[in-house]
Amino acid sequence: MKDDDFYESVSEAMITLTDISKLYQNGAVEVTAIKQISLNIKKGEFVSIMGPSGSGKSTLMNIIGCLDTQDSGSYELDGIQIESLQEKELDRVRNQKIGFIFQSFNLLPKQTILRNVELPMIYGLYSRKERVERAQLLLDKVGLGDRIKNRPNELSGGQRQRVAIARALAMNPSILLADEPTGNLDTASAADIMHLFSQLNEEGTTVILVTHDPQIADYGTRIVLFGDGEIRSDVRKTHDRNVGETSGLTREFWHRT
Amino acid sequence: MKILIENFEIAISSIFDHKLRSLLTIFGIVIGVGAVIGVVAIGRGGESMLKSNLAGQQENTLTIIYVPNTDDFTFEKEAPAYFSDKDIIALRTIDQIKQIYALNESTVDVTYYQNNSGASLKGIDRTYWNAVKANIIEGRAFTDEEWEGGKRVVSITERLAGKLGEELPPIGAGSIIYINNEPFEITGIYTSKSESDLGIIIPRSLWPVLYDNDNIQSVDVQTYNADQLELVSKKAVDVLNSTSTLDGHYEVLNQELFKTILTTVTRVMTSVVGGISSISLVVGGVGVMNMMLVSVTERTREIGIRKALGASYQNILIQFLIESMILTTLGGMAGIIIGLVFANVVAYFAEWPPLIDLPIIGIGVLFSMVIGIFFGLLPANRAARKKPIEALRYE
Repeated sequence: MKDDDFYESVSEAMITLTDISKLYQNGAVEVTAIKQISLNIKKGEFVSIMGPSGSGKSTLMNIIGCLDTQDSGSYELDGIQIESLQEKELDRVRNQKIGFIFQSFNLLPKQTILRNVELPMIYGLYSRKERVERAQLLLDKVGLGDRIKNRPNELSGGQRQRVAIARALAMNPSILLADEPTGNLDTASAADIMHLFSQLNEEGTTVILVTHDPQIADYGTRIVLFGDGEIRSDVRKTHDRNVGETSGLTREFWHRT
Repeated sequence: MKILIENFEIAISSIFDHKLRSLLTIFGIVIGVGAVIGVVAIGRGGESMLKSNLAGQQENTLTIIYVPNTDDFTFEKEAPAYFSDKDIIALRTIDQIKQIYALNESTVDVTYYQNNSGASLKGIDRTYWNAVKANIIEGRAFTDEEWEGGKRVVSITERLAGKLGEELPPIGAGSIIYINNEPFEITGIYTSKSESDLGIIIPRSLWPVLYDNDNIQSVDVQTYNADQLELVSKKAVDVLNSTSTLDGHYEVLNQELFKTILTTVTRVMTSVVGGISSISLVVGGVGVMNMMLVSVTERTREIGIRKALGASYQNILIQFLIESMILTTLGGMAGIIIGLVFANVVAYFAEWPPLIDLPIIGIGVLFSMVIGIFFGLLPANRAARKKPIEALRYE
C-alpha cells in the first residue's frame, strides 16, 4: 500500500483529534499549550511525537490519555467522543483503553511489582486469580517474572520502566502512551526499553511516544514534529525500521529543529 | 465487595507503613473512648453496687421511720433512736409480720494497744445476725447469753482485724479492744458481703454501755410475701402511732422509690460526666481528620497514579474512608480496653462489682467507626476530587 493510500483511510483511524486547543494559567502567566491540532492515528501505528520542551507535546499526550481535557476541539477514541463522557466513563476509558508510561515510572513504591501490575485490574474488577495470573504473565513477558515479590526500589531504572510497561498492558488497552519513557534511563536501558516498544508494536499494539530526543523518536514508524503548540511536520518513515537507519526525509527535518 | 476487601488491605498496609504517625493520630481517640467507657463503666459499677446494697435488704421488707415534729429535732452525735422495745413488742402482734430487724449504728474509735482505727459499729439482735449471713473465719458467734447482754463481747470484720495489727492474740485468749475507751472482748472475726469493711458487731443489749439510751434507731419489718406489704405498712404505722408517746409520727419508707431515685441520680451523673468526656472524642476526631489531610497531601502523587490507571472518585473516597475508619476503630478498641481496665481497677479498690458490659463494647466500637467516617470524610473527599494531571505533577 502506498503512503498516500494509507493516509486516506481516515475512517479507520483509532484516534481522531480535530482542532484541539488548550491554554492554561500558570500563576499569572497564560501559557498557550496547543493551538488547533488535528491528528489521526491508526491502529497499529508507532507514532513518535517529537519536539523541544515547552512545545506542547506533553499537553497533547495528556489530552490523548484522558488525563486532561482540551479547551476546544473534539477527540474521538475508538469511536467514542471523549468530551461527551461523564466522569465515571472517563475513569473506565483510562482503565481499559489507555496504558500510560511515565518518565518517572510512577509505580507505587510500597507495593511489590506484582501488586503494581495488578493495580489497573483491581480497578477493572478482575478476580484475584485472574489478576495475579495475568500480572505474572505480563511480568514474564517483560523479563521480570522471577522478581515479582520485589519492590520498585529494589530494581534498576530500566527494570522499573519495564514494570510500568507491564502495568500499562494489564487491561489490554487500545493504545500505549509513553511520555519520555527513557528520560530517566541510561543509554543501554533506554535502548532496551525502546526495543521492547518496537516488539510490542510489531505484535500489534498501537504506541504513541512523546520525546525530545531524535534517536528515541526514530524507533517510531511515524514522526510528528511539534513546535510552539503546532504540528510542524508529520512523516511516515519507510518500512526500514532499524535503529540508526533513517529515511532521508526525517533526517532533513531533524536538522531543521 | 471485592473492592472493599482490597481497600482494607491497602489501608492496613498504609497504616503500618507509618506506625508512629498512625499511633499519634489515634491517640486522641484512644483517650476519648477510654474516658467515656471508663466513666460509663464506673457509673454502672457504682449503680450496681448501690443496688446490691439495697438489695441486701431481705425480701419483702419495709423500713419504718419516725418523722419528728420540728420541735423534736436535736443534733446529736448518734442517730436519734425513736423505737423502743415496747414498740417491737407491739409490732409483733401483727400476724403478717415474719421478722423484725432492729438496728443501731454509729461510728466509733477502736484502739488495740498502739493501733487504732475508726470503725462502723452495729448493735443488732440475733435475728438480724442471721440475716447478715456472715462468715466466721476465726473464733465464734455470740452465745445466747451474750445476745441477752451477759458479757461485753464483739465480733469484728476481717479488715478491721487486719488494721488493728497482726499482734492480736488468738481469739478467746483475751483479746481486748477499746471501743470509745470501753473494753470489749473479741469473740470472732467475720466477713460478710453486705457489711462494711471496718465493722464491729455488738449485741444491741449492750448498746447502753456505750451510749445513754437503749432505744432502737431503725426498724425493718419483713412480711411473708409481697402482697402483705401494703397491709402491714398501714397496720405497723397505726400500731406505732397509737402507742407512741412522742410528738411526731411514724411512716413507712418506700424502698422502691428510693431505689428508683438512686438509680436515676447515678444514671444522670454518669451521663453528664460521660457527655463531658465525649468532648475529648471530638478533639480526637479532629486530630484524625488533621492527620488524614496530611496523609492525603503526602500521597497526592499516588492518588494521581491511581486515577491515571482508572480509579474513580468513589474508589479513592472509599480507600481513604476505610483507612480513616480502621484507624479510629483500632483506637477505639484500645480505648475500650484501657477504659475497662481503669474502671475495674477503680471497682477493685472501691470494692464494687467489676463490670464488663457487652453492649458498651459494641457501642464503643460502632461509635469509633462512625467517628472515622465522619472525620475522614473531608480528607477523603479532597483526595478523591484531585485532578489526575495536577496530582501527577506534585513533587
